[in-house]
Amino acid sequence: MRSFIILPILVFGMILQSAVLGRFSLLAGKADILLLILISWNINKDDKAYFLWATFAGALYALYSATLVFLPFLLYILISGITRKIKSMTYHLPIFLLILSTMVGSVVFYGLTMAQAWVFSGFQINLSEMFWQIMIPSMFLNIVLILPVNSIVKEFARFTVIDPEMK
Amino acid sequence: MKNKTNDLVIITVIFALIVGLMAVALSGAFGGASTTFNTGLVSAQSWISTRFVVLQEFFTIPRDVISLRQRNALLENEVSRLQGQVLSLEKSLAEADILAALVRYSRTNPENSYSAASVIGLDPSPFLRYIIIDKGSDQGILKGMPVITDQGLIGRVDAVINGAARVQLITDSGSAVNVRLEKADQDVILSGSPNGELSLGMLSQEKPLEVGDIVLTSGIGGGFPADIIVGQVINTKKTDSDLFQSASVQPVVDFRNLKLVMVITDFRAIDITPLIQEVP
Repeated sequence: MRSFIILPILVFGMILQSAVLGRFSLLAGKADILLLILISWNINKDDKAYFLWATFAGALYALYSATLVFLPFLLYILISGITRKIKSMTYHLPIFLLILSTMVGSVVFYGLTMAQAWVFSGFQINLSEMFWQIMIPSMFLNIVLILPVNSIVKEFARFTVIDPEMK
Repeated sequence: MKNKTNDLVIITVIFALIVGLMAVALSGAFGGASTTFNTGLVSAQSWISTRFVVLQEFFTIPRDVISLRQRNALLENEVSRLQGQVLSLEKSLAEADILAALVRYSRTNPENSYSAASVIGLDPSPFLRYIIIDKGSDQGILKGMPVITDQGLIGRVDAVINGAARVQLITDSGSAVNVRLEKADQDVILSGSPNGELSLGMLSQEKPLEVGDIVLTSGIGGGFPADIIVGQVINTKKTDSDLFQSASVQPVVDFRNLKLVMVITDFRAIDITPLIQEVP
């Protein structure tokens, strides 16, 4: 039940993303706070309902963005699953795990978004430009922001763990 | 009676003695003794005074430091509050300037009705160029309405909810605006791109294209009213092997710093999609 604390965190993250962080860009890249919150949450908490939080994050993203509605749902569920897989496959080295998960998550997120724009939208898109001006700067911003985001999410994840002595 | 007489005599003698001593002192007869006395007195006074001041400082200064610190904290709070007030006033002033510019624009273009709106968010995707404004269907905003600033065109309303609307900027890769080059007098299509750059395409090779030419909406297609300024041609690209020439456009609006915009509320975009025949 305490895990539901992630929902207001995601809502706050989305507001922060749209109102504040969206105004700070590196070249044409932007950080994605929802992605970082989901990665941090999945690293710090072994939560079987991860797909539920990813779906909620996807709904929030779809509400704000003009992107295809199904895309954020798909991407956030996929990235949450990948993060959990990476966590299970690597030694418990928090920083390494965070950075690796963020890099993989960013590549999947922006890569598939680019592919969707290229295949479905039919716009004339310069893939090299998109890669160097959007994907790489966005990934860099995500890596920079994952540490502060993780330190906050970690505290909330700890809060959700019920102390056995208190039972 | 006898006692009273004795007292009077004593007082008179003492008075005479004091007056006599003063007269002798004033004549300078006590010079050496007076100096020695004064020096001793001053030394003693200094010694006592110095120690008293030290003691006084010992007991009073810590209290002063505490009170000064408290006062300093109060003043710092006051300074912070005033700085916040200054920032708030500067923000209000900046908004008032923008509003004044918007009002000037609407007065000089009275043919349209406008609704001013604040930009409250941006699309979270770095691949898309959309903004979110704080006016929606409750304020009469409809899908397709053009959105401008006092400087020029920024886009059109893409989606509306009751209290907010999403606006597709002309820099979005999915945006295509029919524009007219003022000097070249040619109608072309202005397209956005994922990195926010504007370009002109489908320009005939024969038509002259100059750097600095002003780009205005043409009104063709019914998506935007005519003659809204969009930008200026900054460079052209023309090769013999290409069918068309192309050009980059510098928008007049600073899209990174959008705060207040105006929606043209009496313009109804015309959907001409059913009229467009698909090429077999």
